[in-house]
Amino acid sequence: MIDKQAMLRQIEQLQDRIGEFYQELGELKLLISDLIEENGQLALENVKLRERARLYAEEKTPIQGEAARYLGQLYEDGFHICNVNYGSLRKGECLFCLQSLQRV
Amino acid sequence: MRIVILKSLLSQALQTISKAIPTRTTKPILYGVYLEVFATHIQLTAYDQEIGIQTIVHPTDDPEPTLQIEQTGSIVLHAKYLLDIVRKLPHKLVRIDVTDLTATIRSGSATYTLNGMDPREYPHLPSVTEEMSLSMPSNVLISLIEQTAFATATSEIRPTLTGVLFSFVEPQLRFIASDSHRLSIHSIYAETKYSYDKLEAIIPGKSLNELLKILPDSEEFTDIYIADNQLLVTFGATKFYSRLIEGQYPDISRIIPTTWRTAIEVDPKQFTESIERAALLARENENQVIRLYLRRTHIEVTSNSPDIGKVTETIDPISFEGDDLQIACNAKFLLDALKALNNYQVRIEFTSPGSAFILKPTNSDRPLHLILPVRFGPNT
Repeated sequence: MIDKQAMLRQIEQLQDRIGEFYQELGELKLLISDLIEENGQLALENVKLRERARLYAEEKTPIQGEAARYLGQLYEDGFHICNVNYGSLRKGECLFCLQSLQRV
Repeated sequence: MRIVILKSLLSQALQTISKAIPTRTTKPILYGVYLEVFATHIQLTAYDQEIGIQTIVHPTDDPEPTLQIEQTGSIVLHAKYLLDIVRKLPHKLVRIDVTDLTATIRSGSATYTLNGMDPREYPHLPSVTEEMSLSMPSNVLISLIEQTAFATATSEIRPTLTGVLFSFVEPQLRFIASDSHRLSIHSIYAETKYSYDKLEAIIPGKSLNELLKILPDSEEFTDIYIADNQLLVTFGATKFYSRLIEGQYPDISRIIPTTWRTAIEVDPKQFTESIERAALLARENENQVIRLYLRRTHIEVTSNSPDIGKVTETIDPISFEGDDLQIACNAKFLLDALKALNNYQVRIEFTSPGSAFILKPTNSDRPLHLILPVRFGPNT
């Protein structure tokens, strides 16, 4: 004879897991939409950075002061110039960038 | 397995290990507490594969029995249910009988039958070699965590910044945390069993916050072990494991300013209350910006939210040195740092409106909290 209690338990457990699975699916969906948004932002950022890189490459070999000025400009334009997250969009001031610029 | 245990003892042990029970996981077995009964003691383990907690309960010599072991064995039981059940049991003694994977819990007139899970499926705790170790009183470790863990980054974009840097360079142990807008450092002189040139690890801020909840606020010594990618903290009969964060913590050697132009001393409670009042109108803007006008005669705390209104409050600092200064900063950062320095008279040293300022106790450089101001343009 099949143990009905055990079967019921099993089905209950399965039901719980499906519930969790469904919830997780919903969260993953939100995550994906965030990622799509971030991807768009990164693509835009990439275009801007490439443009900057091109301008930079066209310039003559920069001297120390010029490199510093360039990094400073990049920072002012809203990008990180620190090695922690170089090139990403900056929200607010960043201690590590300012340390690199020696402006803390 | 068969045991009889004092309800309060079991509920305390379950409370301790419950900090490592995940709220959501894809592996149902991790909701469980691994209960092992040995001839001389019982052991409870919880491990969400990030944090692991193991605690041991020994029988005591009290005239009234605290723990009676009748038969050894093991089982994995749903921890949250077990904790809730044990808390509400009617009698002060609990009997747990396990046959196969079913546990019968009896106390007074109540009987629960709980379906257990197979102990063989429970993940093993990481092994940590016990060679690299530091010892310190538990309350010292608490202060190291309390002064730093709040300043870690919450965003996972830069994983290293979500952790606290544990840096031991004999004889000083430093805890450092930063989310790139602020930085907190606390340090102590620690004893070691062996001598190390340098010992560094990045401990997840979340793990430290959980550890904080179960560390006893006492002089009792805790041992800290650092292995390749694991941290182990032992105190009393409890072991706390945490994953470490891989990677290189950013260099912070030149971040802390060595000079200042304006310095004030304030009473942290009074200053906190003023900032809180100003922050009420700053909640709307993203950075919760408030402004400070530091003048020799008084300090003005203001906040302006164009849609809602504005607030101005003046306070008298305990002391004022240097030049007048205007600065804007995130109220939350300021409040966090002041809260950490709650027991000290606080000295704040500023250099310029665009450079980081530091908060620290009046007569000491540790703990030290550094905050980067918000730059205000012509419109803000």
